[in-house]
Amino acid sequence: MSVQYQAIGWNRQKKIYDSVLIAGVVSYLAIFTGAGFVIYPTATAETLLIRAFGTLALLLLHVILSIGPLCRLDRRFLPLLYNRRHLGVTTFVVALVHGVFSIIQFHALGDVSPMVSLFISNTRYNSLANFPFQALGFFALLILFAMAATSHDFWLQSLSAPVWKRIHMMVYFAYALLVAHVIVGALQSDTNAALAVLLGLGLMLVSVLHMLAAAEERRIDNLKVRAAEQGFVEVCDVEGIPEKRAVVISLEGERVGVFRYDGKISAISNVCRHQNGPLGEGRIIDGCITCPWHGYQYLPDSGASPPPFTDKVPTFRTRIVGDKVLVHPCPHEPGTRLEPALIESSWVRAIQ
Amino acid sequence: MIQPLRRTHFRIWAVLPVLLAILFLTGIFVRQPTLPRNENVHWEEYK
Repeated sequence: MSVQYQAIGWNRQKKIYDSVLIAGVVSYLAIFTGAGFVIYPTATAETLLIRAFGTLALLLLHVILSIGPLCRLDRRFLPLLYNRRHLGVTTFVVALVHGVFSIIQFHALGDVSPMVSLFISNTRYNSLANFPFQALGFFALLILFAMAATSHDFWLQSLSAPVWKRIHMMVYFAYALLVAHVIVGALQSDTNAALAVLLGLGLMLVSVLHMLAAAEERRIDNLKVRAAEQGFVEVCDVEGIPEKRAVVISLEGERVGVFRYDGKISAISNVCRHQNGPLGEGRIIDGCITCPWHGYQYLPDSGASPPPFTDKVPTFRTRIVGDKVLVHPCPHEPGTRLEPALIESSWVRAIQ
Repeated sequence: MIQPLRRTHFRIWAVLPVLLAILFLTGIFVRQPTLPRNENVHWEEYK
């Protein structure tokens, strides 16, 4: 969203986000290793660092996976979502440090290549308690690398939003691999109940949040719209749409944001061209529908981004009959300008 | 999010919690004590 190219569009919010993130990472590592030296005086620094980075990567991944559903359930969590990619790249770096330290510690002193040793030193694939868990972590790290490497908007635009999104949904596979890595790895060698309890709680939290968010999504998809005149469907009362905001409806499987602004009603696709963000959950700022995720903007009557930007989303014809808002389910080509339905004149006509 | 992605997302989270919960409980169940059974032997002393 910038005329002049910038690798990262730094702003105050991003700087605060990253400062808090770095401070959190450093504090966690310091507290973990410090407490580790006190509780386990015989433990080596390498072991404590491996564990500190490993647990931190797992913790960060739980945070990342919780942000999406939390934002679906409560808008107040949205600021956490804006720069989630920074959190993802940080998680990869932390996991990479854990992986490199582990390979050096456990595989670098033999007579075979450490990478070869990683895969041949333990081949007990038929035993759960002695499973070669390090290989699971390695493959999870590869997925995190692919995601971190393609996290920039350059790749989002090159690959297209649906492809990019599918690549980044591999995070769930990485999560499964990492949970398995811990269950058949650290959980087997460390009889301390704390790790098992925390992992179980984390797993439960992420699962419950995703299931609640899925139920909410399903509720929106199942909202019934009533057929009205000439192929239009009835959405809600005019008063049911807050000023400069939208009501989201599902029309033939796809979602539409119906916006009210300055005495007018317009409807556009609910899917932002940037990262498929929910436009209908955004609001109108400076005359433009603004995506709640990363601030991409579209004109409500045409679904086109204001110049010089070229992003466009499909638009839908609107009408007001009495105090009811109607939308035609047939989408128009992205960027097609459609006359908004006028609220006051419609009411006047209804009264007459 | 567009409908196909939403559907994929839903299917993933219908399966993943069950699989991981089973793996977690099995992992806990097969866990064995790592310390020697003889309580009089403290292996740390021989390190």
